[in-house]
Amino acid sequence: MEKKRQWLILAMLGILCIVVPPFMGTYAVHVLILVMMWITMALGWDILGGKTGQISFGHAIFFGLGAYGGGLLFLHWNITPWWGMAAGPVLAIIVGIPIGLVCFRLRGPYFALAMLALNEIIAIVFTNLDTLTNGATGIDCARTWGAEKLPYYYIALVIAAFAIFVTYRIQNSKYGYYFVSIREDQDAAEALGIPTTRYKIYAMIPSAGITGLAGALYMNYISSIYPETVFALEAISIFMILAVLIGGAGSLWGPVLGGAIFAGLDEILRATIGPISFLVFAVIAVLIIMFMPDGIIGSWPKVRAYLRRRKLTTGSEG
Amino acid sequence: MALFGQTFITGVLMGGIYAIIAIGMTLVMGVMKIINLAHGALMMVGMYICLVLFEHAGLHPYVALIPTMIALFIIGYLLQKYSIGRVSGVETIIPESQVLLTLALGLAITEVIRVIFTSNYQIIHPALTGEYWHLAGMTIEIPYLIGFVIATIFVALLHFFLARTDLGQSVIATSQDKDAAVYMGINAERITNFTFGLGTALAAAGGVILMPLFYLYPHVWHPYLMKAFVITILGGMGSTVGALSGGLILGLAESFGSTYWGPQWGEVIGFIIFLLILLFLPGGLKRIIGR
Amino acid sequence: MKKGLLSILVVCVVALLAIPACAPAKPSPAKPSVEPIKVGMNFSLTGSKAKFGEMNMNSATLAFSDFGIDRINDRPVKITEEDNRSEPATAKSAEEKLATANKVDLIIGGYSSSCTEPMTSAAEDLGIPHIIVTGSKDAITGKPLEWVFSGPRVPASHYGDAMWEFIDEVIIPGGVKKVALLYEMTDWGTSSAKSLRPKLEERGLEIVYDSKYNSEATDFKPMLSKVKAADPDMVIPVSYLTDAGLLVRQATGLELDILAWIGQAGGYTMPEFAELAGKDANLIFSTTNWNPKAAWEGTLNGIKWSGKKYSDEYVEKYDTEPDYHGAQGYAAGQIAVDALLRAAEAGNTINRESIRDALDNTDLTTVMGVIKHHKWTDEMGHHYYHQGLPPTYVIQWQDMAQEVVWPEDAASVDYIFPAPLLEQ
Repeated sequence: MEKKRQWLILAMLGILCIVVPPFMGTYAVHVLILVMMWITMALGWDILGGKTGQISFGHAIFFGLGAYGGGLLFLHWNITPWWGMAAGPVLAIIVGIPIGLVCFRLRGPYFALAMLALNEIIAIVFTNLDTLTNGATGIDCARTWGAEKLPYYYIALVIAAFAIFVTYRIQNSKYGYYFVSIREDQDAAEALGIPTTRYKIYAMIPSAGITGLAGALYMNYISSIYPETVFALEAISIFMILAVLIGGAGSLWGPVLGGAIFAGLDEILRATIGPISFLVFAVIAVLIIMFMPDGIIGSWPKVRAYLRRRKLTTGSEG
Repeated sequence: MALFGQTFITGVLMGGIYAIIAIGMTLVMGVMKIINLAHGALMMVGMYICLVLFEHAGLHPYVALIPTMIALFIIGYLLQKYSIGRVSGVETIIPESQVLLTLALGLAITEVIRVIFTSNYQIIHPALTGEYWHLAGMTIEIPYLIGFVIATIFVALLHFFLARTDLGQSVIATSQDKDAAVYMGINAERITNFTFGLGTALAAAGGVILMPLFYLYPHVWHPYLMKAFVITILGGMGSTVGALSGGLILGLAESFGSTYWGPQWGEVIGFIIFLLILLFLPGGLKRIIGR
Repeated sequence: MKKGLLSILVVCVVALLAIPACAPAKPSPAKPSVEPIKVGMNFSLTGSKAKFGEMNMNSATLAFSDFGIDRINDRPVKITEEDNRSEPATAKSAEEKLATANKVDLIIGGYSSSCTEPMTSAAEDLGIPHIIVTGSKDAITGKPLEWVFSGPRVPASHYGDAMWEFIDEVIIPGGVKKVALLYEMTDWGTSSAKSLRPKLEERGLEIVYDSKYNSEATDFKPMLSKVKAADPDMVIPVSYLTDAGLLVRQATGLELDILAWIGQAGGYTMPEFAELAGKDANLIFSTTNWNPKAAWEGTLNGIKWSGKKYSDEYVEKYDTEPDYHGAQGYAAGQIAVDALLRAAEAGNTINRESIRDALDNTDLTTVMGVIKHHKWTDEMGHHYYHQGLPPTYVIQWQDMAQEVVWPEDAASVDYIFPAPLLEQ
């Protein structure tokens, strides 16, 4: 019964996402495209960060490679950047596996720092390898649709749905349980015979791939990329973590909610209160980490229990 | 030869300044076992306090050093006590919630400063700025030299403090084994707050030293935070001597990299050293030099 | 419990879908005559480029108030500001919001190239006239776009145009043979360097040092020591603001023995440069696209203006001196005002099409000089569309002030050459 109801609500949501946008203004659809992109990125990060517990401060590597996958095809062979949708994630995974092989030997903060350093190294390398990447000038590519936003939106929606599907399948598979066991206690997992490094790589593959997919979407949608913007440490790597954190790490709907809030609320704040919006946003992030450390979804039961207790006590007093 | 000498001197002096910024981080990481991503932002706050003291009270940065450090000690202590410390020990889904909190705090602090001071570049010209010594075809910028001396003094004082005082020994005990320290009657929570304050004050000292040499704006801290990480890992967490030698190694690597490989690659060398140390010498130089 | 979560999700999605419902209020058909003429401003007001974006925008706004067009054809003029945070995706968001939610008729904006690019492509898609202010990447006006106009922007390859004459007539006869070329490593620096190199070589100047650098570095002495070892007679750097100041200060400290240091605009024309470099700023040359002492003046909408007047007004209002980034904002404002007036003059209603047609015919004297939107091809074979080419100047810092020294007919004082870094 409960299960059925959930599916019903989900189906309704899905239908809303499909049916409503054609009736919305282009600006709103644009914001929704960014929302879908951020949902995808948050889900991608969460597979490695939230489920497997390997906090990466360098996921812009995969986002940027995803963007450059299509960009390089366009730059060197003038192939439509839509092939980047395939090439970007593949490139991200190809680079992700050796990164994992090397860095997964490190634990906790050391892994986080190694990813941070790699992010910086790759950004500098892409800026300076002029012949391969066109350097700081970046890559401009042709856009397929101009004012027409809906095709981009539906592609973004499909990508986000794909990321949700992958996450769902992982969560309910043997891999999902292994990932969580690595997060909870790596030594215990190892003692139980789980080859932890191999399973971390298994987590890295969909994580890098999905993040790369979001990058490929960015490449096609924004249509110009620069190393400093797609490999951005703060604007990509760190904001991805904040998005997941706000929604709730390690769950299916946490990153979805976090990505949506991050891109949606942030744009609303920017459009309404202007230059102080980011301060408000940063303060919200601090408060959420302090008081709802598992994010909105993760800490919701606690908050609800707390509210219910309050209600009861005030009820008995009154 | 002058080129080599100049590159060497530049590297050593810069390394000393890196070291003092990193030493605050290495202390905090040693005791709390977390990476503190607000470290850079707090250094920047120190620089703004120094700026205000210079512009409104006319204090030379080297004089303003002490009040700035005291102010930042208090800020760091309170921040740890009422914000970061609260999250410690809370069971969360992902293990690093303190780290992520420092990250969000760093962003929030930067924005607060930006709202107060705008993103304009702030530039001060205290005495000695732009003064040089020339010897044998090489040049030494005097504020760099003074900065290096101050940094070395602080490293020495800190080393002495940790080795010879009860409070310092408590810090070391807490960093070596928190539970054991608690059994020995150390108030680990207070020691942690104290260490965070001390680390912050040292970061501020690093920032103040930069004031006569550099400029200031809210995002000034990004590269220094990176360098602090590199040095902390290079030197080993909690090691003062490690931080000093790590700073010197990084300063020299960047300097020689810029001269002989190309200025755009200078930073990459630092990061590569960092990765190599992480992978092949976990524990850093501390493992070699012993403390 | 799960129900609770899902209901949160539902609320969020519904809220997101509801954005358009509250954001763009439908234009009320009842009173079309007082529908204001809306001008959008899309600038970096926060983030790393905030300093320049602010100056761009303040100046553009100043132009609107100076030329007194609060009403055209009985329609009030309304300005809407958007902050793009120096982020490309946000710049696109802001452009789309202005065009579709605020329904503005004209957009002015763009400091960094990475933000200008998505802005202009969005403007083209949505069919809204866009006047660029600074964004200098050559390729931005390198494709035939219908709705995008260069305004006062100078393509990165043409920042140094005035300098070549100066080099031919003063620098080379003065004995300069070897040049060091330093440039910051983003698009602006690298593409500037790309266009500088062949022009230096065809003049027989030998490039003895050629390297990019990271403008955020603290200490440039390793690079400068290398420059010193290469023993150039002249340094040509492409720098942002803070690196410009530190480079000059540290090069002076290293006793770099040269005859001239010619900055390529960017930071070298800003007051903060002199603050950072202190007395070492003295005798430094720079190219620039504008200087209050360059005597452009004229009348627009019956109101007299001059570069000096603009500069004084800016100082009074914002308590800091404008440089060419400010003048670009002001000139963009002038171009917009002129286009709006001409769009109204033709007897048309003012709308996006009539503004676009007016911009297509822009040929206006602004604080930046004469700007004419037209199609042309430069000597390197780059095509430009709707691109003006403001004249450039060479300035020299003398007694902590910028003086125009070239071209000679615009000069405010005589140049001092040789111009070594060391105390004379």
